[in-house]
Amino acid sequence: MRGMSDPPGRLGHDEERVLIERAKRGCEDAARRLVDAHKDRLFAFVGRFIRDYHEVEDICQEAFRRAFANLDRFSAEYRFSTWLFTIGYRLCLNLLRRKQAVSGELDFATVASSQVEGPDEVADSEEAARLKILVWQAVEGLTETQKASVMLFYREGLSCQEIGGVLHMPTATVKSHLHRARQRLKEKLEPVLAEDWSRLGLLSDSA
Amino acid sequence: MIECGQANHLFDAYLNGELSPSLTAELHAHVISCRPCGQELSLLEACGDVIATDRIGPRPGEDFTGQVLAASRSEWTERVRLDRWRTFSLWAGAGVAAAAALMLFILPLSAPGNPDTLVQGMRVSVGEIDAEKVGEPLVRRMMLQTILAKEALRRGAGAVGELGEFCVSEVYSALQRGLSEVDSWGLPYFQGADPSFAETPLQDLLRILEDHQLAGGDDGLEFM
Repeated sequence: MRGMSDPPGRLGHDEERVLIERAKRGCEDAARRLVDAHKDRLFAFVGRFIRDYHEVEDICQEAFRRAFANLDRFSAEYRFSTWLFTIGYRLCLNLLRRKQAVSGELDFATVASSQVEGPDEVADSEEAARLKILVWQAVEGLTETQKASVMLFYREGLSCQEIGGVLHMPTATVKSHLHRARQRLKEKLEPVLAEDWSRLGLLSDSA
Repeated sequence: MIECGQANHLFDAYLNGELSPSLTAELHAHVISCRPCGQELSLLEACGDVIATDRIGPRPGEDFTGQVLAASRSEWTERVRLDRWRTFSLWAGAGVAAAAALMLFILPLSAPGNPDTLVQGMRVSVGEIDAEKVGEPLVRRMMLQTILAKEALRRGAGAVGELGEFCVSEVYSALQRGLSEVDSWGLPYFQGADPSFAETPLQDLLRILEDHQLAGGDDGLEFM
């Protein structure tokens, strides 16, 4: 199941609404806080589709620019992040269509200087690190829609209905994409991990 | 106890957090006793955990926020400036309309007794009328309403016009409609036409003038 809770850095709905109202009136400090609160998540999301770091940066910047330029049209019943991901996803698809290329493995060497290792990475065991690499490789093999559904569901904690809003599709279709994505992840990972089940601790031998 | 096929069928609902507590308990009971199903569910949960918590991926540079704000600033400040102008124009237009309405309906009732004035270069004089004889309230009301309403509307229209491109079209057109309406009955009256709308008050006026043997001759109303 989705075990994700809101990280401490995320804005509450009320606080976000106040910041958006202030930003509408031209408060740059409010806009700065909105950018700071969402930029990491948007980068992580866009980075799943686009391999070039500078293109990721351009898309994220453009997504924020468009969001601020159209703040008047933003409805307070939605989360700012949902709106931002919608814009970001559209920009990704537009770029991918233009380039007629699908994203492959990220060239992290080019972004090493901007990477910040979190405590979870530092504490990773060798097996867990291997599992992460395999999972991300499998995620890279998903279709764009499956990838977006998986990222928004697990990473952003959006419901299937909210994901449908971002991807412009019915909730049932989102569930179908999630189902297929899980099947593909399972098909890719199962053979690779078959030998490592017990070492990875994914299974209880007593089960 | 549910079978493997049924358990597999419930995986998605379980992972989506949509499974009822009773079915969740059934599923848990099954995966504990069934190694393949337990393996599969554990794998799917592990994938979800990695995607949810692993922070690998590109991160924004330190100056990213500054770049976003710089890129948005000109467009954004222009929008805020236009919003403020729009708000100002709305309030200003409403103020002009309110002022015009005030002058149209309230001031005529408390205007000074001598209504001599110029309307579109035309001197309007009622000074030679014996106000007491011809019914001062009626004359004053008709003349002053016409003169002051036209003047108020002209000023309102002028003020709205000064707002230039930011004027509120609705207010402007409303003022113009008001001006046209006044023109439609005011000028013909001054020019000696027979305005049907004012027929009743004019009949009253004529009757009063006849009573005082003023009608048909020099009626004291001089328009130049």
